[in-house]
Amino acid sequence: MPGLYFITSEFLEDAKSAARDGGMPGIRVLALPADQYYRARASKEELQSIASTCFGPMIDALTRPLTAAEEKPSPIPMQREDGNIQVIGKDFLEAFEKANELFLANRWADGLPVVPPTPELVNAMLAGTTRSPRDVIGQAAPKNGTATVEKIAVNAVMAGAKPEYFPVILAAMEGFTDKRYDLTHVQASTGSFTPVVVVDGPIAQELGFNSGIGMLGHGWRPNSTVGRALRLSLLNIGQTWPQVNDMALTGRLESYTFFTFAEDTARSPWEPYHVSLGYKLEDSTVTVATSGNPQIFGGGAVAPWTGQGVIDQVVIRARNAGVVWPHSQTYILVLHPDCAVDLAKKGYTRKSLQEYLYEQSRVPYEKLAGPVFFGHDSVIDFVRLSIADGRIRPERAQIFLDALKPGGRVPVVQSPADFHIIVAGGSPGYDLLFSYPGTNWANQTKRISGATLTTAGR
Amino acid sequence: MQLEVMNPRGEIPPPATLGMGPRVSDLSAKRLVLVDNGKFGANNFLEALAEMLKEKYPKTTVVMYPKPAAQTITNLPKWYPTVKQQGDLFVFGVGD
Repeated sequence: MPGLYFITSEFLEDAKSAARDGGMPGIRVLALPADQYYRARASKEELQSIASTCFGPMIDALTRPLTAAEEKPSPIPMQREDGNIQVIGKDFLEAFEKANELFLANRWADGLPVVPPTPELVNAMLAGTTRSPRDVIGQAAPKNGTATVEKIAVNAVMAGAKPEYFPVILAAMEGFTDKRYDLTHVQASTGSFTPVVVVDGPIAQELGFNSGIGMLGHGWRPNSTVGRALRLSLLNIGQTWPQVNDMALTGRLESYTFFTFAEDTARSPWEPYHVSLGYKLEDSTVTVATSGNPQIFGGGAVAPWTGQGVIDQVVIRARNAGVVWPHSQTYILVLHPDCAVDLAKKGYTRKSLQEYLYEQSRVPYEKLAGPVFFGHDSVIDFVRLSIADGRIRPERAQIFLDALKPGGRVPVVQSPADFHIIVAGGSPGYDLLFSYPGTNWANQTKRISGATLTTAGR
Repeated sequence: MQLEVMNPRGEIPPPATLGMGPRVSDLSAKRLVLVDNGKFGANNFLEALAEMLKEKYPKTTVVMYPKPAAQTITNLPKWYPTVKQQGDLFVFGVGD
């Protein structure tokens, strides 16, 4: 069927890249001027000038005979990525600098200096796991790059990770490449989402992850370099680059290391998060998730707070003025230990807190938002469609059907378990809410295994 | 001083290539499907094109066909073939 795609000029390279990724390099694409289109698109009248300008090229693209290459494109060759590179300098400093220039020029680095991944360093990294270098952990979106253990090790070296961290990195990559994790959206979306990486179990303490004051910041090598190893692995194995096919408009809040931290199981009043998911206490796990801009609650060191006050603010935020996406919404609520203890003293368990948040955040039918997005008349229409196409799980569908009528109260997530509760932070501390209205299940938890250099994670 | 370094990139299994559908010689007596991808303003842009098409190509039938949002459909690959059932050629927009 002959066709044509309109995109905006800032996305021309992205469109061509996606067409090639899909095996259709001959797709005809016309670019609208981004600096005019986005301001004019609010009305048909304002778009008249742009539409007039592109009308002729549109007719041409639909009627001009195909070239031979468009009609029958050549097979796309396999681009080998297995050769080592020799970098020569008069001394180590010059060779180091040249290696870094080469990596950045090739779009293999993040802009900060990287550790040159020599075979010796990569082999040392590989010694941190029992896995074979050739094992495939998964395929990384958006280009479907093959994430072998060896390729992840190369990126882990570049990030400055220690070999004993490597099993954590592998497990996280297993999560990121799980088909149920929406990696394409996270890697490419204009929405500028940031991955969240949470380590649980005894390996967190053994490796020295920070879960206290400054847990999202710098200064702790496990937090910083595990996160950076994942940043570089996704960049290089999924093959993304800003302004090419990573179109995060602002970049990400934690672009270099993601939001990487550990749960403070020692100061939590509840069982560790991974145990609440069914893992054994002695297991170590890593959870990968996605977040838009996190929100902060509580008073920190400057204002009074109560645990109840914090969670009631979370409830208001989760209601989101009636704009809800219950089929795919997930939340990660990170309570600082004092807040968790305060809530536990009030009688909350993690499970009862999840149920409280689920029940209290339900939005009255009459307060669901009207026409807000994606051509749907209302959230009501949106939720009904999600039930009909099975994205709201069949066993939960009746709850939503019962709520979609006057007097009903519609849940903002599918089930209480979609409020994930983790304990971490300082004393005093703030409480964080990571949220993601994704297009797929966002959170993946994987057991860390195959460790050779730590007692945990074997 | 020589440093040997390893390539950090993952290899991409090359996709099978697909050719484009043959173009039409003109739009007369054809059904042109304007597919609104659901992005804000795409409907306005396509409607502006539709008005111009009706004026300059009165023998062309213009069909507006909105794409369900990714957030509200389970299987978009199954939806795409339905575009073909709407007409003879398509225009899709506006991508970002």
